[in-house]
Amino acid sequence: MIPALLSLASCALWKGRSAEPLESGFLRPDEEAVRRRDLIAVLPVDNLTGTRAPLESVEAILRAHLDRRGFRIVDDRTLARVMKRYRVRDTGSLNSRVSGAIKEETGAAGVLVTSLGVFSDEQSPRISLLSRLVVGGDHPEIAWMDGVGLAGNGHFGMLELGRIEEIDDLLEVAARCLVESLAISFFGTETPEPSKTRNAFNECDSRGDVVYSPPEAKGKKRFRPRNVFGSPIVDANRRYSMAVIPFLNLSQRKNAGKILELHFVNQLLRNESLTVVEPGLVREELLAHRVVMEAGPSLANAEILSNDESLGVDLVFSGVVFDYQDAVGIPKVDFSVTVIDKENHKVVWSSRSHGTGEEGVFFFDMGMVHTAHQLASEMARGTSEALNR
Amino acid sequence: MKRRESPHRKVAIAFTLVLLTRCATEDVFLDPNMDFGSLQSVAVLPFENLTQDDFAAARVRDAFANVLLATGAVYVLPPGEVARGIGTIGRIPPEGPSSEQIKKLANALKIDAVITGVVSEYGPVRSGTASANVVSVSLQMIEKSSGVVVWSASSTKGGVSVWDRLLGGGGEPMNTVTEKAVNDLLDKLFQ
Repeated sequence: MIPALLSLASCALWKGRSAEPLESGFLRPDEEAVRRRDLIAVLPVDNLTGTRAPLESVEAILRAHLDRRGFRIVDDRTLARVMKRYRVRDTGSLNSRVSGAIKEETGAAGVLVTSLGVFSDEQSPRISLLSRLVVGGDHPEIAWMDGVGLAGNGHFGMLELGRIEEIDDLLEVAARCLVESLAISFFGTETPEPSKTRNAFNECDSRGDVVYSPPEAKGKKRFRPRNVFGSPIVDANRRYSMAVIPFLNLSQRKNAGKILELHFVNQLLRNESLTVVEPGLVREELLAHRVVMEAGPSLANAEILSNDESLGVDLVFSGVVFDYQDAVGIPKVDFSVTVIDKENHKVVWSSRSHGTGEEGVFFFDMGMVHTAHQLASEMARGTSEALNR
Repeated sequence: MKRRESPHRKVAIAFTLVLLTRCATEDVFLDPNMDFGSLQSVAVLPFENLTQDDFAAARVRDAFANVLLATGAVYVLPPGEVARGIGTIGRIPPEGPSSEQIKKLANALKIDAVITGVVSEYGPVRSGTASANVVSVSLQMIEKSSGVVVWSASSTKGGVSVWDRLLGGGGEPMNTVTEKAVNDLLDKLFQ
């Protein structure tokens, strides 16, 4: 009787997740960006954990999964030679010089840039990875992006059979999910076809499975911004180019500003009205102009990026992060965002968001968010959706 | 025969005393000669922090600026822009900017008024075995051309309530208490 009930329950869960078809979801259907036999360069993982982390192991596991899935990868010695020649220190972003050099010297059609947000095995293992595929050589553009945040004590199922105790096992699940998301997005069918709608996409969920997210799907209400200012001067029918600046970090967590920047790039890429610039290009311009954002978003910084001689973006997205707790305990995220436009040199959007993983949870941890990655991702999605209304 | 005093008279006297006390502690000042409708844009200066939390003033300032902007009544400059303006006028003393500094700042940033403030409490407060979060903020609005205070108000929200004492629970989250204080201040601005 009990085995029958168990199998029925697991079938119900399985059916609920895989009922949606896993369609090929291109982010850039009009580009012949990367095909199955093209080379991909895998940059060393960027450490945003704020502590020491086994980056080589993470990179090795990612490479193994990419290889297993059929991707052709530039060998690490060739890539290391290029990085040494061009003195590449920042592996979390790609500027035009390095992107062009990698394409020219290795023949890679795309570069996989990965950032490690969390790698913790205190109390219960937690991991967070954000990855994007950048193409375009001298004019790098993001062709695909996804992130995965997992906790060993999240979604452990009946009798805790699904609980993951070891961080290495969690890393395997996370890496597999990311690579699968990349593979489905580009090679979902034998002959790659553009998705039916521009911003249909696949993403890794909090269980480490790749799920299809149709464009009409909306995020939950609890993750939406608390206070919102939206100027009516933004035309809802127009397409805007946007640069996302690293957030000003006023939290105790190191690199929280960069982590939130990546979450927003990930979610804003899915917004039909926006073209998001590769963060490496933004960094390149800010460094070139010696910009130091000591106090948060300003019109002067926005003007640098919106200048036609630099990036020429229409909107500059930035903000302040006040809290980002992820390694232990209940996750907590608190930030505000500001969008400044080029034409009017004014704030056209401002919002404040804050939340914890246990908000709105009353019975048996239903609805609990176990990682700050997932919480930040949902809140960024809520802000992006509110931006589009 | 002694005349019995009406109980209603005692209640009326007590009520009048309470009312007078309440009036005596009113914490809002609105300049009657100021045309608040003429304000188009304001700058919210960094608040002074009298608490033990290093970022308390930044959090409250951000929350206030966001909610004020969200009302649509005035345009609020982004914080980086305010910092740039402060950089042009020199160091602002902890007590607040002088009238001269206000005028220079207003010219540099093209604003109509400046809002300054002090955060005097931010964080948990204990009463016996019960604890809860409390926020205490006081703000001032200074008009650009005259350099005088045209509005000031204060608000204290949170703290240990009767329910916290009886049932425990730790009170409301810090962000919720902050939002309540900010909304209270805005109610006092737009009254």
